[in-house]
Amino acid sequence: MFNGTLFQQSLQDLVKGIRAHRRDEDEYVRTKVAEIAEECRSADHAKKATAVLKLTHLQMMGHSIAFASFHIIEVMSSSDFFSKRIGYLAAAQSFSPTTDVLLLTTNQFKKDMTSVKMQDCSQALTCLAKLVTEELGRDLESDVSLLLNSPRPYIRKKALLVLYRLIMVHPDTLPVVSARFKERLTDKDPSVICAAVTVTCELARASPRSFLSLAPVLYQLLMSKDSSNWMLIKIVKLMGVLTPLEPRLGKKLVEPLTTLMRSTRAKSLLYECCCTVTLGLLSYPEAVELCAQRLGEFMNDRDQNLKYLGLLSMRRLIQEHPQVALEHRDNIIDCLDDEDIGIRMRALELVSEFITKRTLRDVSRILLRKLRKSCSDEFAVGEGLESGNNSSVDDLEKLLLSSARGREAPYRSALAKELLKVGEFRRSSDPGKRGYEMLSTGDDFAWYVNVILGGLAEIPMLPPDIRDIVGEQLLEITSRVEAIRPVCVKIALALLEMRTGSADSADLKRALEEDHTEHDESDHDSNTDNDETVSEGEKTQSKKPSAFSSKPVLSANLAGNAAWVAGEYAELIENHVRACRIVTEFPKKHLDAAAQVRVLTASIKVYVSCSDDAVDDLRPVVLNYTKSLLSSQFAEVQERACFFKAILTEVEGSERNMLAPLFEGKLIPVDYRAQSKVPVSPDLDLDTPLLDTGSDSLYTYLLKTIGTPEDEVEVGDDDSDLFKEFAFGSVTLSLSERPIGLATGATSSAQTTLLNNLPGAHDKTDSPFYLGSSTAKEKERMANKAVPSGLEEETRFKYEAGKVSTEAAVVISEENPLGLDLSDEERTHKVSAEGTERYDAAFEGAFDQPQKATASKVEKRKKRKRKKKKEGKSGPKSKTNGGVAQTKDDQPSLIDFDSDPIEAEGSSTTTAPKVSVNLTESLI
Amino acid sequence: MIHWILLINRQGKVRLSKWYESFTETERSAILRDVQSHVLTRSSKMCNVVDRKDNKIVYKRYASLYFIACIDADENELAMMELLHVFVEVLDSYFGNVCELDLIFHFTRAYWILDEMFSGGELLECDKSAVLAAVYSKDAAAEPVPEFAPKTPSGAHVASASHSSRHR
Repeated sequence: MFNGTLFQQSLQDLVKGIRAHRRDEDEYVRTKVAEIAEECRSADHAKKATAVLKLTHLQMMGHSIAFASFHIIEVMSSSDFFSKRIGYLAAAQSFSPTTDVLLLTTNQFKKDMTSVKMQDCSQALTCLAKLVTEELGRDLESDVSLLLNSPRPYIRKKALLVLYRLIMVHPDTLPVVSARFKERLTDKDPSVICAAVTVTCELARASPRSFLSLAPVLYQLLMSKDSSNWMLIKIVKLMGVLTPLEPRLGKKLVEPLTTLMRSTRAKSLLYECCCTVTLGLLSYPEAVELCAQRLGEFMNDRDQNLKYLGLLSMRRLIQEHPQVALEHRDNIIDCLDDEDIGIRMRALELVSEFITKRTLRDVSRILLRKLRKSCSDEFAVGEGLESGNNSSVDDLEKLLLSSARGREAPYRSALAKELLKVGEFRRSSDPGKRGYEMLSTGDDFAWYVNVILGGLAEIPMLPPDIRDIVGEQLLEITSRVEAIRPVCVKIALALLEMRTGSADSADLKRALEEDHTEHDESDHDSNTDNDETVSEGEKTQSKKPSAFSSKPVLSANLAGNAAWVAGEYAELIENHVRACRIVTEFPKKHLDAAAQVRVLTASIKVYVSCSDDAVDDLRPVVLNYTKSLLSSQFAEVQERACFFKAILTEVEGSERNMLAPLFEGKLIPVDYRAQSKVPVSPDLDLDTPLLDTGSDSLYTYLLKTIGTPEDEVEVGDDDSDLFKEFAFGSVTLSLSERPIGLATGATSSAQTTLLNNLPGAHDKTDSPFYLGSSTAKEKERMANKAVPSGLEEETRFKYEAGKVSTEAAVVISEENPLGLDLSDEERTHKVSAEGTERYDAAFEGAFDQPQKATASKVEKRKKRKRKKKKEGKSGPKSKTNGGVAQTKDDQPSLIDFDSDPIEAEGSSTTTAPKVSVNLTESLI
Repeated sequence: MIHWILLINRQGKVRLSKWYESFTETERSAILRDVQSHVLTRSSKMCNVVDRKDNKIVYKRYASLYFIACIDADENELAMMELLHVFVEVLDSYFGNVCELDLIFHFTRAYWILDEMFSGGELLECDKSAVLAAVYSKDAAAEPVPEFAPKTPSGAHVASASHSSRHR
């Protein structure tokens, strides 16, 4: 044994070396890899094994060792168990289904699995469980299934687990082995039964129906006194999967499960029982009651894990039995204060389950308070972070703080969304279910707009998407619910004012409070709470004024919507001068074009609707504001400003009322599906082409018309031609809109006409998309008048916030976003269905009629095998060569292999010498 | 099933990584990054379950080492925690008061122990002494003088005898 190993670096040395070279670890590893590659080529087994061992370590550290795959196989095939063990470990760790030398392992696996030495067999099985691919599985399934009958329980157990992986990659195996597999469920050795149950449980998840026939055996195991906890967990889980398919099973399960839930001291088993009850035994009151009780205990437990899991399964229970939620209400709300955001999120999911009309205000108040608290906590953290810059807070702690900071965001979002759920308009074909479920009286709506929308808008740390929802709901509720428009207008102005900089947040508070007392006099509870939260909010504000004023807290969308509400219902404004000031002073820095247009339009509307004595005060304000926007960077804003300025100058000195017709008539909510109700005119002909292109494709035709020489554009190329036709498909659409475009075209001007008709190069105001993103008031009005049939039932239609024009609505209904979603969903359904189908097909009747199914499958398989044999002779060899040839190209040349060719003495595979030569050749 | 098991220290260094599914290099590093940012930053007062995409990460911390496993969403989290604990107990009896350094210098042995507990992402054996017995028997086959042997001569006997013992 006096060989190279004496001078070889051991694994321990390597580990120490890496630890000593912290600064230049990569450099060090690189030199070591070169060294190890050299060692790999050694003829000495022990040396080679140590080299592979070191590589395994490097692989774990994240370095690629793909170059050594072949050497790993060499070590695997060593007759010495010490080396073999290392080889198998390295293979399991580093090989993937795409490893090209994987095919070379088939024989090695076969050899070791049939070996008399138990450890060889065991090692091979462990490795195979990780590596098995469809191809390996096909070749090795007979060997593995033979091992199911091994005299050693240890091997039977391992073979079962390998079989599971094998079936997953190669489902056809199951029918072949089902009989043997079923025997293992009644094995003498409990650990083998346990493995068999585990595998059944996993397989049943892919295709539960095929495993129903095993239910009696499993039931016996469940009732057996000496089943281990782990096995019981698996059986109980399996039952949870099977009961929905077989109702009779549920009836039989109630008794043993409740007994278990009463007697077991293992929390994991108890939890599993509860899960199974929530999955399959929801119609058995006895089980449900006990389950709720146990889960309640979990939620109360000091152990955070039990709390989390309790909440998790409670949700499934509550969906069927809402009364359980009420019993545990306080418990759940307490969990909202937990330190762990995961627990809070779960609790929040439950909270939504017990919101009813009666509890709505109480629960919302609690949620809003939690939301404010979360924000103020965050500020404390933020301050700590900033002050930590020069003090002693170390890096890790800072990291922790900042990550804690970011992590709260989803919780706040979820809280806010929960609060906003109430204000969602529900659409349904059933009139009884349509509308706002939780809000009915004007008082309710006023409360919602004031407390929830106003409250959320003022919380500084919410993400923009929440603000957008607030804005949309403000708009929608205002237009849907006439009774509360005055309140909405007030809130909208308060929101706008809050961010003008001139007014502090106290103004909003006052406005909110006033409204609140007006509408909520009866509700003392919420009143006091409002006071409380106000003071809380103010504290936050005064604490960190800089952070508030520097950030645009009102999102562009929310500001735009608020401005629209204030403008559209301007006659409800109490003090027009003040309102006008608020609107015109609103900082436009953070607003996009659409929002700026809305604010501008709102200012004009306020001006138009003001009382006579205020006109003179307001005129200069509005005019100045309009003028200031003449040089806006946005074309739309400029255009609108020019337009208004012209009108304002035109009517200067004359009666203000001249402007009133501009905004006459009220907007009515129009459903985006309204277009479908408009009858199609019988003389509308959509089939005849506007442009007769003859036999040419449109593209060629256009080219001819324009007179561009064809060869320059390479029409011949199929792909590009196709693409171009696609691109011009939209031109056809545009052409149909304005038929003058090409028809009149003189050859010289045809080019420009074409460009103008391309989507995007449109005159924007004519494009439906343009309207979709802004609120061009005049067009809206016209559009509304044009589609009377859409207005029959006012409440029926959704007022699409931001997409007010019917033209836009048509576009949306054409694109049908809802339909798209659906088809997406369907697609995923399909995919998953296909996925399970594969198993279903293979598993079907696997246990029901073992005889027949097995026979036919075996026959099929035999045929396939015979076929394979025929092809086989030259097959594997050429494949191997192909595989190795690929190595040549794929291998990154980590190492300089400019030494002698490898001597492949130790290898047992016949192809080895050839391969090694290839390797050296390739890498030089 | 178990998708992967990782042993990571507080600094984020990997001490053991077992992937029961074939992940690409980039997926592995993405998982590692996720774990470092989502698990290592959790305080001791938080629960030991974290959602990750469709799966769940279950972890337990022992001294400076995190034992982390990723399981299917419908798998039993509590049972997985118990299994991680059994693994630690086995390591502890095998190395005798195990510490991080043991795992650094004998990382292959940690893998071999793990392989006796789990195979292909499924539980193979949850009985501590049965796992130990299996490892010892293989050590004996591989090394003429095993570096780690049962502490008492009766240890091996007890281990093999309890091979079929219950864990109730």
